[in-house]
Order: sequence, then C-alpha cells, then structure tokens
Amino acid sequence: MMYFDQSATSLHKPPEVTEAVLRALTGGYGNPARGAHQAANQALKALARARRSLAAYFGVNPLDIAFAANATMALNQAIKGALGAGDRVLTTGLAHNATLRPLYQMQARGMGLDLLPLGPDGGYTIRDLKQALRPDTSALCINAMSNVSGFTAPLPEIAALCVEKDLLLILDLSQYAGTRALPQVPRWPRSLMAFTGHKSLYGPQGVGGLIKRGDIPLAPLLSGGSGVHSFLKEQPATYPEVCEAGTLNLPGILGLQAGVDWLMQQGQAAVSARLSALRQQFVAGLEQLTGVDVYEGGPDPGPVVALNMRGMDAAEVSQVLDEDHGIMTRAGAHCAPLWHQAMGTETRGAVRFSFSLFNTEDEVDRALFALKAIAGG
Amino acid sequence: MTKLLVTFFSSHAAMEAELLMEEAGLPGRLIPLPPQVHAGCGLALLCDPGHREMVLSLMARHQLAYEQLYTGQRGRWTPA
Repeated sequence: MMYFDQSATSLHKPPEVTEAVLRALTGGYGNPARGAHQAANQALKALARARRSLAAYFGVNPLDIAFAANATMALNQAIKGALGAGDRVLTTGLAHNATLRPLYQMQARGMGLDLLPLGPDGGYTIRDLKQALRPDTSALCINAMSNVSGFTAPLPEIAALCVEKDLLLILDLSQYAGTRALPQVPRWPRSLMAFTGHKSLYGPQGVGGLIKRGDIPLAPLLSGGSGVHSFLKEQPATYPEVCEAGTLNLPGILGLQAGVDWLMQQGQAAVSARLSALRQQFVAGLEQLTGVDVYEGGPDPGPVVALNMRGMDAAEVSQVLDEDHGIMTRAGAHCAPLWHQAMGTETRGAVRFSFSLFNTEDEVDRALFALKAIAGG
Repeated sequence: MTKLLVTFFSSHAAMEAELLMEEAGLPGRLIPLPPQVHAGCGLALLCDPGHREMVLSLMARHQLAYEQLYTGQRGRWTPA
C-alpha cells in the first residue's frame, strides 16, 4: 500500500513518537500544574520541555505557545478570542473551513469580513491582497499553505504588510508547519499562528497549538480548570493559561515533541528539499500523461498536488487508485469550498496527492504508472 | 532557614523558571503556593535568598515575568 494523504494526517511516524507516547502513559506522569508532588511536577517539566522543542522549531519563546486539541481549535481560539464586532477581516479563497466557519460565525455577530477571490490560476499575489484591504481592515486571516493545491502564501510580504498597516495576522499553519521554516523577516507582526501536530510535524492526532506573538488580548474559547487562581470567576488572562482550560493531552504533546525533535534532527532545509523533489518528480510525470488536469500551486508550492482526470469524478479515480493499485489519496472538496468554486470543481471535487518524508521516488513512479493506466494510456 | 519565594502569574512560567535555574546550576524547586501568599492553587519557586540577584537576572534575560518576591519560611512569608 502506498500512502499519499499526508495533508490529512501522517500515516507513518518516526519510532521516537510511539516511544514518547508510551513513555507518557507508563512513566509516572501526573497532571501538569495540578499540585506540586513529584508526579505532577514531572509532568509539568515534561510539558515545559515540549514547549521548548516547539519554540525552538518555530523560533519563538516557549511561553508564546499554547497547546490545543488541533489547528481547528487553535483557529477558533484565535478568531473568536481576538476579534470582535469592531473588527474587519480579510481572508482569501484558499481558506480552509477551520478558518472560514469561525469567521462566518463572527460575521453573524457583527464582525466585518472580506474575501479575496482567487485568480484563474487558483492563487493570489501580495498586490491582490493590498488592493483588497479597506481602510478599516484590522486583521488578515491567511492559510500559509493550501491543503488542496499547495499554494504557499507570500509570507515575508504579508508580514511586512501587516507591520506597515498594524494588522493582526492570523495564520493557519496546518499544512505549512513541518514542510518549511517560517521565514526570517526584519520584524514579525502581531500574530496568532495555529498549527496541528499530526501532519508534517509527525505527532499523534489530537494535539496542536496556537503561537502568540506580540501583545494580543485574548478571550478564552473555553473556561475551566487552570491550576492557578482557583477563586477567579473567569479564566486567568495569562497566556498560555487563557487558552488551556482543562487537562492537556500530555501523551499527545510528548509525542508531538518527539516528532518535532526528529524533524529538527533531519534538518528543515533537507526536509523541504526532499518534499519539493518528490512533488517535482510527480508533476513532471503528470505532464507526460494525457487526460489529466493538474491544478496550479503557484510559484512556490508545498508538497501537495490536486488533479482531475477527464471524464471521471475525483471520487471514482481515488477509489480505483485505492482498490486496484493500493494507492491512498483523498478525493472530494477538501474543506476548501472557495477554491473549488474558483476552479469550478464543486461537484466533481479533486484528487489530492500529498507527500511525506516516508514516500519514495519508486512510489511516485508507481502512482504515475497507475494514473496512466486509469487514463487508458 | 530563611528562603526566597518567587510567585508567578502562571504555573508554566514557574516551571520555566525552575528549568532555567536547573540549567544555570542554581538550586531551586517548585512548591505549592502557600495560602499566606495567595489563596487558591498554583506553584511558587523556592530558592536561596543569596541567589536573589542571579535568579532575577536569569529571568530578566529570558523575559520571564514574575509576580512577587517573598522571604521567610514555611507559614511565615513577607514581601521582599
């Protein structure tokens, strides 16, 4: 079986991840920040070290990171916690429903929302973004990497724009994190960045987080136990406590830490180059096939490719790939409704191939061979 | 024996301080927040008062904010 659905979740994890999860369950870890006995402190220390690993990876301070169940929860926390009726937000046609649905909820509560439509190539430029800004725009919500086409947002230019206009930047790093490093820019804007652990950071499902950079007051998405200030009637405003009501998923977090540590051992530059090479090999092979439409991923695409085969629905292609060739891909609408509307694929969907470090050149060749067979050539 | 007690706005900040001290080779440990200092729950960092300047400098270098300093011993803490 060949797995090309990294954008949904990473199927293959480094053994260190499994070991870390097992250790978290068997190593005498208590509930972090709930008491000061040895087991609770051991858990709190492990949690702090996990925060440090993630901070080292993202280039931020450890206490800039709040853990969440996934990127969806982190995006909900960012959008509902930082924005209100007085805000006006600009997002793009590449936004995932994890961003769009909370934005629509906030729009129903009085927040202004503008959508930058995609061009015929399924992307946009920094010039398009600048032109779509209104005088009262207060925040940008940007998908750093499309989960359908791999289109990668021009982050250095977006960061500079947000600094220049004093805009809050909310970034969805779900697909981006682990595939490439955050860009080095002279000044990073006030920002909230949501990541998930189970895709290209190679952690388990059920863990993600929110990175806060700068002074951004946040209302909590959830309220509950915090381990501090028990007599306060509201969630403590201190970050990360404001975002971490209730017991955290320590096994998931320690697994994620192991994934990130492993990734850093591989080296982000080497990882990015490897993923890019797999994508290029695949796209070059697709160009030799007839009857296959490949959707553009912009000038700097991530390791994701969306395609359709003429005369077939995406679901049918994906099913044949799975059942006849042992190749797992994702079909359907990919929770990215605006992209499909822009591409005219609302009904037929698109077949998505997404790559991980565990894919091989041979697997890519076999996938191309299977697509050629399906195309009748 | 008199000790220095550092309180924080966040248990995670308290643990970060303990890790920094551990790495700097300074003795210190987290204890439950004494009720004389703050009602409720939470953690505080207990350390040697002779290391006060080193502890404060370490936290400042890592932009780690603390809430309050106390000196004293179990059951008797006064703001430092």
